[in-house]
Amino acid sequence: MTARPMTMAEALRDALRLAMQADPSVFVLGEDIGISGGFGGGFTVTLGLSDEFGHDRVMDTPISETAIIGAAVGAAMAGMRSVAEMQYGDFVFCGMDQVVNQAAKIHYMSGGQYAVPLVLRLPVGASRRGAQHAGSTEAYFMHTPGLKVVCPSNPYDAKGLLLASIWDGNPVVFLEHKLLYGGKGGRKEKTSIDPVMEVPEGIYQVPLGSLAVRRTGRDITILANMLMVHRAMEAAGRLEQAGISAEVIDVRCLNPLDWEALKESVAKTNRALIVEEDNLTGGWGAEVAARLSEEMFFYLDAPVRRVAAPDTPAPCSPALEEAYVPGVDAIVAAAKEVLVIE
Amino acid sequence: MISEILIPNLGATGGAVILEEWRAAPGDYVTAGTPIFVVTTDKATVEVEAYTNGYLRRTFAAPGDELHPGDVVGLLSDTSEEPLDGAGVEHAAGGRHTPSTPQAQGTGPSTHQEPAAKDRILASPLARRMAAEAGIDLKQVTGSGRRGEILRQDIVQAMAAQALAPAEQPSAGPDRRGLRLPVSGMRRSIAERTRLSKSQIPHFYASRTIDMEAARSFLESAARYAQKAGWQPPTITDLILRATALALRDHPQVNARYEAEAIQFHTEINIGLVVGLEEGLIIPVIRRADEMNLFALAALTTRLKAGARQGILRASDLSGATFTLSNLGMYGLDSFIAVINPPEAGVLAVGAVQQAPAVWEGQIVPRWQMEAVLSVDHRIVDGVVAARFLADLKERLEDPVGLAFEPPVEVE
Amino acid sequence: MEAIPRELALEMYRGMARIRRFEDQLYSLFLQGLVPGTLHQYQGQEAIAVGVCAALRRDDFIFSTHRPVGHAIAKGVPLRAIAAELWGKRTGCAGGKGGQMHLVDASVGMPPSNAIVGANIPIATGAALAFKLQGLDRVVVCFFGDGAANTGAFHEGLNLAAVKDAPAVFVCENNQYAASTHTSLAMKIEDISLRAAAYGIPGETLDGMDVRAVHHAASRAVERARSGGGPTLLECKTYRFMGHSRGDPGGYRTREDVQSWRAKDPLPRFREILAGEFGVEEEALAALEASIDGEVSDAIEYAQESPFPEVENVYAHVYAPPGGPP
Repeated sequence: MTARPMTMAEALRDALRLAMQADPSVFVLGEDIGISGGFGGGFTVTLGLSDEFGHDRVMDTPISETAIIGAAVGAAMAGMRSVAEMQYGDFVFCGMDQVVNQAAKIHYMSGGQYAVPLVLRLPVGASRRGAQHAGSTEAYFMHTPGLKVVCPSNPYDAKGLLLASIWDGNPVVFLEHKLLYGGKGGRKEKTSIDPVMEVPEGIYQVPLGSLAVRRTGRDITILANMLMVHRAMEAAGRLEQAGISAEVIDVRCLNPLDWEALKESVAKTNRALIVEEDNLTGGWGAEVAARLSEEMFFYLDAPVRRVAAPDTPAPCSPALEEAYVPGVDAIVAAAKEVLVIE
Repeated sequence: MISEILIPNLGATGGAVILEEWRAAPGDYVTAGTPIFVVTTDKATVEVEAYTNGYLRRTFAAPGDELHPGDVVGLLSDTSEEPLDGAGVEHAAGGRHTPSTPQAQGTGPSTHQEPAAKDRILASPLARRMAAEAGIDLKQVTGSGRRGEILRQDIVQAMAAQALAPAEQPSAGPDRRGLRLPVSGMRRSIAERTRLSKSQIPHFYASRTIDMEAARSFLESAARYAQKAGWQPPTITDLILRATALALRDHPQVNARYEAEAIQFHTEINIGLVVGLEEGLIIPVIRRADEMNLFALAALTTRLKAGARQGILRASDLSGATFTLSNLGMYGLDSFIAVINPPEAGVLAVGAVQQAPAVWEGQIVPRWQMEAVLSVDHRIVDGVVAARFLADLKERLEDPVGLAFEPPVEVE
Repeated sequence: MEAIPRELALEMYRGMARIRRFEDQLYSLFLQGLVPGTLHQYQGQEAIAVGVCAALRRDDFIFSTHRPVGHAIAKGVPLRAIAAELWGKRTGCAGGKGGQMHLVDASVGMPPSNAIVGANIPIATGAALAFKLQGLDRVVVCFFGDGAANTGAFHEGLNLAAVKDAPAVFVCENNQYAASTHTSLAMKIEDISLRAAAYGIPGETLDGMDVRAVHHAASRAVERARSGGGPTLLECKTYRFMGHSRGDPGGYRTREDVQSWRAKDPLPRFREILAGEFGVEEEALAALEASIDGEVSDAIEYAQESPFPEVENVYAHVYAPPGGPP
């Protein structure tokens, strides 16, 4: 399979295009996603798709999150594979009933008679727009049985995971970090990381329920997702210079989560540090920390620590946002503390 | 001036006494020579007199508490009002302050307090596990954590040090004169256990001479049989183990444990076998000894003794004993008295199997004999029980064929 | 009014009688403490479920609410499966996993009914859009009450259906009360069908106690949807003879109010029409009613004797097995 450099937005767009080509039951809906001459959704991901597939399969909707998600649910129950987009992840709360009470529970309540093959795409992460456009949101969905939660950190994973999610047959909440989308083919985020990498051009899947070890190490396991993976990798580089060998794990799928792989790593390093952009209390790090203490207690040489955003709404000023979103310094300091250095 | 009221040494075996009642209450003025409290030893009830005049200000023990010589059980002061400034608080033997009037109570609260916070060892879960597996005493390890916690690297270091240790150990010889030998983990452990045992457990002793003629010829037969079958031949110790196990079955009180308000009879019969080592001794445990036949015991004890000498026994091999057997016969001792291994109820010490003059059918003849001395916890085992146990043991060893038999199994 | 065939008339009477008899029996059993869980009963509203479903095909979908028994029976879910589900048994239409408020049967086009008021409306819109996208001529009917007409989901769902010409019929069963709140306390308007104009779709108010009127209106709306004419809002004025749920003694309604609506009871009304206009003999009607008694008793007995699901079932059906690309 040939490959070419893609940003994450391009990779996601490619996934949608290939999916819709291969499977006539796949359709996309959301605000401003298909308008001719428009911007292809909040972050350019759907740019050009309506030209190829028309405005029925790339369906623009009114500002009606309840109806967008509800219709996506209903369509999924009636033979389609729905890919619904929220313009900003924070808006999902307008339609939360449809996610938590409907999508997540229909298969169960119907005794397995109806499935909801639906992907709900949420652009997440702080990006200097203020408190209502900054949420990370994964904790709410990890907590809801019946949903799957995916959060890629790079273009290759994003495309492969989106394709896997579309055909998973279950409601998947698919988190896309705003600062990872990249620039090509549309607008670019300030302060974005803009990772570009070689991405295969055909259809491939990254299986749900897998983790990726981004860097092997001996002294400490650092678990992170989305943007925090990049920060953690930078931190690991600095820790190396201080003589600490850090293992960095990209938790690209929170539910299902590959607990075995995670435990294997902690069995090796005996220390775990979780880095998340979400607010500290009740974040996904709390669940991982609880499980590690239950199942890996006798392997831990230090308490499981978390680096997360403080328990406050997200501030807007760049100076404040910098303090809010965990940075490389904070990760390095936390790791050193765990290792009883300094 | 403040004076401490102490438990005197009353010559009780093992030293421990139980406080029966106070003869004065806080606030009372006591004069030297008058009884201030009453204790019972394993033998008698004793009134203890105040040795000085003063006001009884505080008591630190309640009726029912178990106490030892030197324990501070109260405070006297010259005047009734002078401040005590926390004096004597650390001496709370039973862990109890009784500011109110002490009453004679039949049941006292549990005696043993939890170790004070400063005695608590901080160690990571991983370090604890590693230490347990390697048989390292955490009290011997210095922690490198921020608050002195013991971490993995500290255990690794301790294990490395332990591996080096035997080579550093001075060998037995006249060169030891003036030597200052640091106390190793094993020596310290032995010291601690025996001290604890003697101070806490009221030891009582009973002995029997056991005729070993039949046992000796029985063992010869067993050895021939074993050789033919390719099994480990049983030794005297194995035979005694089996006899002990079966005797414990019939006398469960000797296979029990004393707890504050109850005697806990054990569900299993696990016999610890004392194995002497260069640097001390170690006690591997034969679990469910009563379910093992003679040859199974022989195989197991062989393995355990070898493992003990090689230092490869695991924590699980060394724990869970409910009774102990010590055989120093191979060193020529006629008899000896063993120290009970807490929290067990007894230990059987056997001496050498040797020829001695015996009265046999009215004649004095040389017979192969062995002295068996049983030490028991008098809180649980009285003289009669001890005597019966030994009689049972003697009977089994003197008619050893019974030790080879298994009980009948129901056939469906 | 257009004539309806005699067979259809009998079938519709049978359907209403089935619902009435089932619900009445359940009421009696509930009072005896024999029904686990709660009940939201449909007596008085039978004409709507039956009249609408008689205009539908088996492969059309209906989306129902927390008061689904009437809809389920009218759409063809077997009585035994409904009863067993109410008893929480393994043989229930959802295997015991749904309960009274989540009746379901994919074989007759009934996705699980919805206990979140109004939430089924956007879902129904989505299903209708799916049929349209797949080029199918199936339609979707969404049942909801007067209370749901005030939710955001109603607004968003109808608006989206309207703007996309979804093949849907939205049937509002206005029984005057949302739990204990009378419609006059919840909105300024009298007729919910007025709101159709806000979305640019046709709206009608009808007598929900007249099964023929309902059927005719529903047939027209279904035909409109099926032929690509988009959605319709039908408001059926009706009355709930029982309380909101079984725990409700109904102290907020006057006796006169209840009695005046009982006088319009769709069953005796239609029975008279059958006997008169359609010349059906009394013996035939009695026989029909007797056979329904038998069906209902059989269903309830079946439910009571069926086994409960195994405990391991708690973990079943959280996720569907994956399905790859075609």
